[in-house]
Amino acid sequence: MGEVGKAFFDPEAIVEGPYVVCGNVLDAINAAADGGFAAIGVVMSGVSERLSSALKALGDGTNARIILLAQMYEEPIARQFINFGVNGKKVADDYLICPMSLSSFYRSVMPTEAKGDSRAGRTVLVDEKLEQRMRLLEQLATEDDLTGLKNRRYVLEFCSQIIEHVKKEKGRVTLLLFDIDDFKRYNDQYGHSAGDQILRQAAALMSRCCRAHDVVGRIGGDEFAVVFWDDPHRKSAEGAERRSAMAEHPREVIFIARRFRKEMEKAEFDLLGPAGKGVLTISGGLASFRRDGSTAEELFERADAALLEAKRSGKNRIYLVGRPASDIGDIQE
Amino acid sequence: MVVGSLTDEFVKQTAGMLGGGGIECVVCEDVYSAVGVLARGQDGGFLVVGRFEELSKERGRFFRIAGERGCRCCCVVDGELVRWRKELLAAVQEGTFFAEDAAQVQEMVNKQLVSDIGLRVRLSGALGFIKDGSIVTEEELRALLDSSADG
Repeated sequence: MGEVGKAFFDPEAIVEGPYVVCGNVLDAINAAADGGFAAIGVVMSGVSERLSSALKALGDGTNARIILLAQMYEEPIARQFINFGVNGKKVADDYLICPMSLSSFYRSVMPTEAKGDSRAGRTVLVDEKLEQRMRLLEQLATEDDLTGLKNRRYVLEFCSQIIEHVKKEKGRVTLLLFDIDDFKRYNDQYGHSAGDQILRQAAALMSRCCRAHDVVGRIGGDEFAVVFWDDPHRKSAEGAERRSAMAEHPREVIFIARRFRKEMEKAEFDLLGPAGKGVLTISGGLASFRRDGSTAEELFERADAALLEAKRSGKNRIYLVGRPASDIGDIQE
Repeated sequence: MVVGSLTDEFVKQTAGMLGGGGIECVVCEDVYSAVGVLARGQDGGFLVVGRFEELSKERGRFFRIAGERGCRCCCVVDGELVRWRKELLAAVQEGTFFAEDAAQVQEMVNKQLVSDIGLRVRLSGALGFIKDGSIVTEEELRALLDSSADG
């Protein structure tokens, strides 16, 4: 159900397989009620209007497994549907990240011992261990082992995808690159365990400061990246996002970056001993889509340049691209 | 069937009016659950009442599905129609009735129960020219809406 071209590398292969395609969600609800489907794939970005209402109605009319087909930036929403349902009612069984091949989708959703017509799926055996192994592999491929954040590969891919998305939907994307000042010295002086603790705590602090849909990643030894993005379909707590004094960089992003710096200053790092509080600082660079670059590569390059400039200027600062002499702490509210 | 949230006064009023008149009434909170109910029920027999804004969601597809299931729709319109051209065409081609408020819906329902012939309800503006029971071509509809927008 939905725009299958967004979900699959090879949508033309659908004609050869045991699939029924519904481009409109109401047609899918109508067809699902007739029964006989083992699974229903919902292309999230191809479903307009109210996704939650559509999923609820879809689930009411069928025993089929409902699988959400999500782009990377839709993963938090997909998880919410899986974990919390709609008004306490389960509306989806699982999600897969797109794009993917049709054969992978088929293997993921069909039972290992499906007999006869694959649409006669009222009694479905699911290989749960295979699903668990696939989830684990997906996790290993996208997550940083030490901190649990996303890894460099994921962040780069996500940044590219979200930029393509906001180009059409007129949203905004801002990239923050930062690292821990003098991290190598702490590692050498206090040992790798202390260094690991610093990285884990910094990761946890940043994740707490960010919004649920922002992507936080560890992309190098002590280097981190945060992809902030505005979903034009979300309403902020203020009703509409206000612009910062810099106009091109969202106010909320600067607020989050400032708060994170303050949290780092307050944090205690036990393995650094009595001197472990208030010593750690970060340096960073902020670059925004369109203003500072139109691709993920350009944003990374510009943000990295701002980060280097922050280091050269004395560290413990976050520079905005295009305003190297101005730390975000100096910007008027 | 009345489609819409019970927090909408129109929905509450219409459901109450139909129930009070001894007509079996189902309330569906949105067009998605309405399709589910139509699909699981027996074909035909439903008159679906709702705001045009709700029933026309998903590019007006609901009107065709309801038509295929032998149901007719009655839409209440309280906004500018010009921006809903495609959905309006889908509605009209399936013989949808139009009304301006719950009272007109009641009048239509009462007369519909007496006769199978579609009722033309007195309407203002462009709606008054949409012929009940006839197919209006896209060109005719565009002309009607353009003249309504100009006037």
